[in-house]
Amino acid sequence: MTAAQAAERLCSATCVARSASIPDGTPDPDAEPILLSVRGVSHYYGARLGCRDISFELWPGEVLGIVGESGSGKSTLLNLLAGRFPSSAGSIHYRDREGVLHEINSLTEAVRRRLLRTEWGFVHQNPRDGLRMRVSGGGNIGERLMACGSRHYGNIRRAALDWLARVEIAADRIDDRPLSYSGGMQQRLQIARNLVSSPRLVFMDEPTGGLDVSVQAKLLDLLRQLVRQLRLSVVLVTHDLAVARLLAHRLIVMRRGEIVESGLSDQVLDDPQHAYTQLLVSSILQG
Amino acid sequence: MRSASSTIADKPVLSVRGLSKSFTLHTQGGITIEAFSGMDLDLWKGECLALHGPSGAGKSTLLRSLYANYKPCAGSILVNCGSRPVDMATASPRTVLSVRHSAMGYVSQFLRVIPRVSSLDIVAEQLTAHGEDERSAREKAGELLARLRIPKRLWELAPATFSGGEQQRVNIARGFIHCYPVMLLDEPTASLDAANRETVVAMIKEAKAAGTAVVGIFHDETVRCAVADRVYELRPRDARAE
Repeated sequence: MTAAQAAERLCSATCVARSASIPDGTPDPDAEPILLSVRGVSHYYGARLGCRDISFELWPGEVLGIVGESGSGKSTLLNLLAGRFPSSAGSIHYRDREGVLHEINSLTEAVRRRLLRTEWGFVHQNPRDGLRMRVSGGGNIGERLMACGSRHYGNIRRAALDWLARVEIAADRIDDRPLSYSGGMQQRLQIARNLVSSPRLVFMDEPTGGLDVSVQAKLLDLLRQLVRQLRLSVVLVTHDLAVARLLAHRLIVMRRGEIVESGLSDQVLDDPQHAYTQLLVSSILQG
Repeated sequence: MRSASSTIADKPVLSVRGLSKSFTLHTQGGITIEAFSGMDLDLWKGECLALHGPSGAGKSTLLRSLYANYKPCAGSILVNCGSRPVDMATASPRTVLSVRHSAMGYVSQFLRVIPRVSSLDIVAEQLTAHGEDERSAREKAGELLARLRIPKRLWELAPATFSGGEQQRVNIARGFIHCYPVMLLDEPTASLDAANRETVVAMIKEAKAAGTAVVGIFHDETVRCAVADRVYELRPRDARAE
């Protein structure tokens, strides 16, 4: 660095508040290590197509939305990414906290379970699929911590209380079973259960799907805050384009198992290029 | 020895060459509508360029293309603000987001936000996103909302129920609270009364003085004359075809 550059840098550090300059040396966002890399992934249920030739990358802190109507292969893809069943073709690589690369299709069950416990989260559309309905709300959160090795009851309970507060569930509901919670509360509990173990990557399948509009707004706001604060990477499957716009940085549009368009969320939604995306966007009812 | 800043100042902050944009409407028989083509323009640090022309001439489309909200069909949009120039027309989505974050502010005609977030937080978030701590971000957001005459009792409310003018002022506060090298303004004063219009004019002038380069659409002639250094004329499509 020359003296002039050093002086410039020093100056921009001191007068950054009200001057229209940006700090030098902004990292190239495309040079960051990739978290999840999907190459040519296809899946068939017997002869029926689930999805075909799917490729994309996901970086740390990024929310990728997968949109398309039901039956377009969104959920199939999400399940493949989370290793819930192996794909018929293609590869999915995940880089863990230690920088170790895992090929999802060839994971042993033990490693897959470890990733699910310590690195990933999975938020189901129906909270009943992601919660244990006969265990208390606090227990649902604590269970996940215990699976990660926590043993101290006091700490677990404190963490459960902390997370109930973060997802805006009153502390006095900690010992109630989720069966007695409203749909919105159940969904927020499922999110707390997933996030308490500080995952790096969360798969979400229509997280706002079954909720009233007013409850949806609250959940969206909460999700957006948490994603930012925790710098989570998220693969978000939704058919709701408004949800996709608010949460996702990038979008993938799927139809009949294939990607028809992808790009910056607002660009895909405001200037769709593919006929199918144009149809999707133009079909939204103006509220 | 020349300092790094003077080398940067020798180049336009924003340099557009051969930019074309048309829309192909697949759901309406595949007709193509041309918004503009072969457009060149340069924007320098601290100046304000006003886009001018009748409705439908492509002013908003151009502004949205500069922000990469619309995808240009041809041409380049070079942003010379960071350590390396970026072409917004061809950059990856992640690079576009990074340029928007560090270098480009955009005040749209309408506020689009999450239903439940308070006005104060909508504005303050722009500062916390740039590393400011929450307390001082909220303090500064309050100062700016007060300057734009948003009554304090509204600060903790989500702007969904506000009047058009109030929403627009929240939108302006949100766009101006962080000082960007480039600001894109789509009719920022359209639904404002005279006093607020003057405040916004003052804010644009302050941003220019701080080095921000502004591209804007200003229907109000008084506002345009007060802030613009140059006017870029866009002609309607029919006139160009002849």
